[in-house]
Amino acid sequence: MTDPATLQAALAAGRDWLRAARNADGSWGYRPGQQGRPEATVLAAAAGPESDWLARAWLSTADLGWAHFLLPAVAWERDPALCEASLAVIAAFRSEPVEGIEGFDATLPGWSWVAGTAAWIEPTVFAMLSLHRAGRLPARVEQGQRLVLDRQCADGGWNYGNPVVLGAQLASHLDATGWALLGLATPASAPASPARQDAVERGLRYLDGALERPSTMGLSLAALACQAHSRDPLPFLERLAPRMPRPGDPGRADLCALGCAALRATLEGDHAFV
Amino acid sequence: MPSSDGPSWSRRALLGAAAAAAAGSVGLAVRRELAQPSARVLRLRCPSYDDDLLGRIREGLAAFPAVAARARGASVVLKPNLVEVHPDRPINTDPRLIAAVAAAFLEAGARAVTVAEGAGHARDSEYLLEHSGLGERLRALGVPFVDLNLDDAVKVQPPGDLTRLGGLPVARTIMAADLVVSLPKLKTHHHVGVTLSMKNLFGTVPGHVFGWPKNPLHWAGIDNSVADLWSAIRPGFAIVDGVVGMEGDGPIMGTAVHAGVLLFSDDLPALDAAATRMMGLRADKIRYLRHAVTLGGTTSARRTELLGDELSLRPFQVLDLFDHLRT
Repeated sequence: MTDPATLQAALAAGRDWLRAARNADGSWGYRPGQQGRPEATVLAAAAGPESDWLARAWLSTADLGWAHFLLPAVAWERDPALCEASLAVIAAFRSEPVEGIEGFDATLPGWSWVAGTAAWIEPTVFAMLSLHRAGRLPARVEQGQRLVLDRQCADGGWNYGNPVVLGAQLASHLDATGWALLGLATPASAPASPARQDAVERGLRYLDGALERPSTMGLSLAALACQAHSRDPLPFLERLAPRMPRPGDPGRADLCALGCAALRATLEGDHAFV
Repeated sequence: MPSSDGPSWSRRALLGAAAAAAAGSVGLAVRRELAQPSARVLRLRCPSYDDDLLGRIREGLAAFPAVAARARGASVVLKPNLVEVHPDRPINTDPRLIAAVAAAFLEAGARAVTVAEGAGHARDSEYLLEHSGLGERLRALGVPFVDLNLDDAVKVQPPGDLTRLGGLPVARTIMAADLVVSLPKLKTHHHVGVTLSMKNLFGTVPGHVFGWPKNPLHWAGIDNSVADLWSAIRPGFAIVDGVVGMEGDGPIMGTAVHAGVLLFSDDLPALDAAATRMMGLRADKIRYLRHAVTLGGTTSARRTELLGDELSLRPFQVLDLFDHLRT
C-alpha cells in the first residue's frame, strides 16, 4: 500500500537536495559543483511551480543549445517573455532529411540535437511539448507526432530514434519511451486514430519494464507518461521514492528534477510537461 | 603504331617502362610502409571470464613496462565500450574485465583509477551501470564512474581535422588524465567494418554537446571522426576484450564469437589492425586505419611485432556490404 507521506517526504527531500546543489549564479550543473548546464537548469524548473525554481537571469544569457527546445514546456506560464527566444529557435529549426533509410521515414521533419543533422526522438518531443504548452504552431506539433509514431520500435517502445538499422529491429529504451509517450500526449487536431491509440497502449506496456529494471530516469519518465495518459503512476512512484536523494547524498540535478516532476504531478496535480 | 611527333617506342620498351612504373609504385608503397613506426601487440589466450583475469592483465602490463611506469602515481582513466544492456548479446566490454583492469592499475601504483564512458545511444547511465553489473563491481573496488556525456567539454584540435569541424569537444576527464586506456570489445561494425580501440573513442565526446547519438560525428564521416579523435587524444594503452566478441551485424545486433583472446598494445592503430587481421579481415581496407597511417600511425603487419600466444581465430562473419574486407 502506498503511503502518501512517503511520497511527500521524497518530494521534499528532492527539492531540498536541488536547493543545496544550486550554483551561486542560480544555475544547476548535472552534478553539484559543476558549472551551470542548460538541460539541468531547465529541468530544475520542473521541480516545483514556484517562481524561484526558474533561473531567469542565467537562462536569459546562457547559450542554451538544444535545451531551448525544452524551456517553454516547463516555464511558459511563469515567464512567457523568457520563453519567446526559445520559441523562436524552435520555430526556425529544421532537421536534415535523410533519404534512403529503410524501415522508417527519415525524411519526416522534426528537431535535432545539433543543427545540420537528423531528427531524433527526444529533441523532437521537447519541441513538441514546448509548442503545445505555448499554443504555437500546431501543424509542427502534428509533424512531430507523425515522426514519433513512425519511429516506434517493434517491441512497442522507442529508443533515441532508430527503430531499424539495415533491416534489424533495434530495442527500445525506457527513458526515450517515456518522452515519446509525453510527445503523444499533445492533442492531435483530428480525433485519436486507432493506430495512434494502439501505439500509446503498446508504449505504456513497454514501460512496465521500468518496474523490473528500475532507474531514476526510467521510473520518473514512466510515471510522467502514465500521468499524461491518465494511467496509474503509483507503482513507478513507489519505486522512485527511495531513490530520491537527500541533502548530502551524491546525485544528479537532472535526475532529481525529473523525479520531483513525477512526484509533484501526482501529489500536487501539476504536470510539468503536458 | 609509334606517334609521329614523339620518340619511337618498341613494344618491349613500352612493356619495360610500364613494369618500371609499377615497380616504382610498389617501391613507394613499401617505403611508406617501412616508414611506419614499429609497434608491438601482445596476444594472450583467455578462454573465459572466469579465468584469472587479473593475472592476465598483470601479464599484459608487464609486457609494456613503459606503460606500467607511466601509470605509477598517475590518474588513469579506463574507457570501456558500454552501449546498451542486452541479456543475450555481448555488446559491452565485460564488467569482470573492466574491474580486473581497474584492480591491476591500482596494484601498479596508479594514484587514481576512474572508469569513464559516454554511451552513444543510452542516456540513462544509471541504468547501464546497474543492469550491466558494472556498478556493483566498481563500488566493490571503490572506483568511480564518470558519465562522459555530462562531463565538461574541452575543444581539441585534431592535427588532420579530417572532419572539417574545426575542433571536437572531448570530455575534460579524458583530456585531464595522465593515462587513457581504451577497453573496447572485439566486434564487427555495420558502418565502418570493425569497432576496436580507436572507434571506442566516440564515447569521449559529451552527449550534452553532440546529442544521442553523436550525430555530428556521423555527418562528418565516421572514419574521419575516429581518426581525428585518436589523433587528438592519443590514448597511451588499449586492451581489447576478445574473450567473447561479436560478428555480423555489430556493434549491437551481431552474434557472439567465443574468441578467447585478450589483446594489448600501446599503439592503438597497430592493435586495431592486428585485431582486424585476427578476425580474418583486411586491415588495409578499413578507412579509419588508412587515415591513421597518414597521421603517423602504424597498421603494417611487417612493422608490428606480435608477442604472446600463437592464436588462430576462425574468420568473423561480416555483413554483405563488407565482403571486400574478407581476406
